[in-house]
Amino acid sequence: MDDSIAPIIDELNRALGIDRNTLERELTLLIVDYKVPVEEAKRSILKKHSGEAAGRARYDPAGAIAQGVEDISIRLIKDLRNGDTGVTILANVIEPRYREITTSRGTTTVINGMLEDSTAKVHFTAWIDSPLLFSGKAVLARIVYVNSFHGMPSVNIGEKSILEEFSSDVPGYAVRRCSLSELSEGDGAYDIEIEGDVVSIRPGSGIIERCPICSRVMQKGQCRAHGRSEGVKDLRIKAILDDGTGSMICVFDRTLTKAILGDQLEAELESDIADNVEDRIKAALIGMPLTVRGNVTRGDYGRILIATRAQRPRDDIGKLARELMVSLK
Amino acid sequence: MSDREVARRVFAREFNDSNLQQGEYVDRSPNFIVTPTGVICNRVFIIGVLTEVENIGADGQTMYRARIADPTGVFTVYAGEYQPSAAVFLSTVKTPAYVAVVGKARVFNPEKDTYYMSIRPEEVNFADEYVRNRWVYNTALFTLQAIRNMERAMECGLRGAELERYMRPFTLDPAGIARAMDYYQVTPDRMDSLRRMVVDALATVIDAIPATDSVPAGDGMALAVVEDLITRMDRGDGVSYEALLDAADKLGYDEATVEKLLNSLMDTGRCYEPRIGILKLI
Repeated sequence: MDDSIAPIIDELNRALGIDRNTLERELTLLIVDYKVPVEEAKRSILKKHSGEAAGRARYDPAGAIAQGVEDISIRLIKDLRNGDTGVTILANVIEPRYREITTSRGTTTVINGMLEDSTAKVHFTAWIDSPLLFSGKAVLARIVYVNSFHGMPSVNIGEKSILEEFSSDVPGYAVRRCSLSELSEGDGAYDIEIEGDVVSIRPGSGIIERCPICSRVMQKGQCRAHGRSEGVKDLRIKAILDDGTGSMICVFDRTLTKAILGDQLEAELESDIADNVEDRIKAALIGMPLTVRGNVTRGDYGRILIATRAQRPRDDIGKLARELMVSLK
Repeated sequence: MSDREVARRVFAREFNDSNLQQGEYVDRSPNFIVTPTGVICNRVFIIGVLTEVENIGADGQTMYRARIADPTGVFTVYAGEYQPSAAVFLSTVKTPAYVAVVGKARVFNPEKDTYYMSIRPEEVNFADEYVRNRWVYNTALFTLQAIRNMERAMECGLRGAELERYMRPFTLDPAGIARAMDYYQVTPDRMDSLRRMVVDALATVIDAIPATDSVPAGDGMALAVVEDLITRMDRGDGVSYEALLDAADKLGYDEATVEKLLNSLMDTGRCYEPRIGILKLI
């Protein structure tokens, strides 16, 4: 046997559980006889057998667990990154529902919803049907993959994934306070909270016009997709928040703008009385600490926190300072 | 898209004691200073009390020098013609006032061994007491962490690139720590004295009252507007209430609001009524 083939047999045997004789025969045929590059040979055999392997395991979930439960390392949802494959997670299923979607291969029915563990919530799509997702119990999902959906990581449960019911409960997700340095490295996050100071107001804050068709912001009465039209007025603020470890653009919609600017200034902006809108927003917000909850999405323009809630922090600084001093003694 | 520089929180004394620069002196490349605890600052965020503004521009040039005090010392802020909004703010503001500044750290090194640290403002705005206290507390947390990192660095006994590698898991500034260690001749005594500085700073805010909702968001601005109106309308013997209402109305503030703002100005001792219906600032 060719020396270069033995290690590949080992590897594929571990990965697929296909018997060594079959592997040796097929590899020899491809590499020795047909002179196919080693990588390509590996890839094609993996492709050919991986469906079978996963299929077998799916019919025998107990066996799969018995085989591999020690070497399955369960990933925390907060650590998932776009492009991860073959991941195992343990999560509660929230609000699963069937949806018909249109793909390049026609319409198909999928299951959509959210998965949560104690560290994060994440959107999921199941491309296969499984009653386990509707059982109301936690699931152990193996061989799932992660891609980006609406600028946030999303878990995909596909043909090769293995779902198992998990007997006990998984602690749910409570909004997690994140540092901006953590968020400025990740691939986006769902429903997190940050606290920072407003250090800059971006252009495009205040009264804006949105395209009546697609809701994109219009520049000088022009939508970049639908051309000139009568825009719909809206109010929003794009502020840069900085917590001393990182910084991020936060977008506040009309309701939140009202909440953080106060009714009076908001009413003035709405009624067009105010000139130098940007200066007035700056005067109201620069230097102000804010606690913001929302989703971090990662897109073409970097990471943006879309706020769902915002308020001025109200911690009792005197008390915190006393506690800190005591801890230093 | 290049990443935005994080605004660091440092106390005035540590900031002013910094004289180590990092980075090449190429046009437009950011300049960094490294503080004695190894914090690498380009942008800083400070909140303090504005105690003095001087117009130091020669020959009609715009250049304001402002002093902003925190519990440990005084930051110097220079705003010239290239910081127009900050210059306007500083030229009109009344001292003392709580202010917040976002800006870039600058080192002026006129001769060997003489360094003047200053901040070139990007944004300046009014703050309030609660926000100032909060800044003192947060800056204390950051400084304590930096001191602990420096102590860890001293304990490990490594230097240079090895130290930098060693510190990487603990801090965002491993390179700053390695450079500061050699340059500032860091000693345990020096770190102790910085820790005492932090404790003294914290002591100034331990009696801080919790934030109240009496001044809703945005009112700091309105207060400043009304105060500014009174200043400009006063010809020496005060401003009549009616005239002030008229002027405020043009800016979109109704009578109820002006009344509320005046009350809060009087409560804080910034304004009084020498005769009924006549207002004067103190």
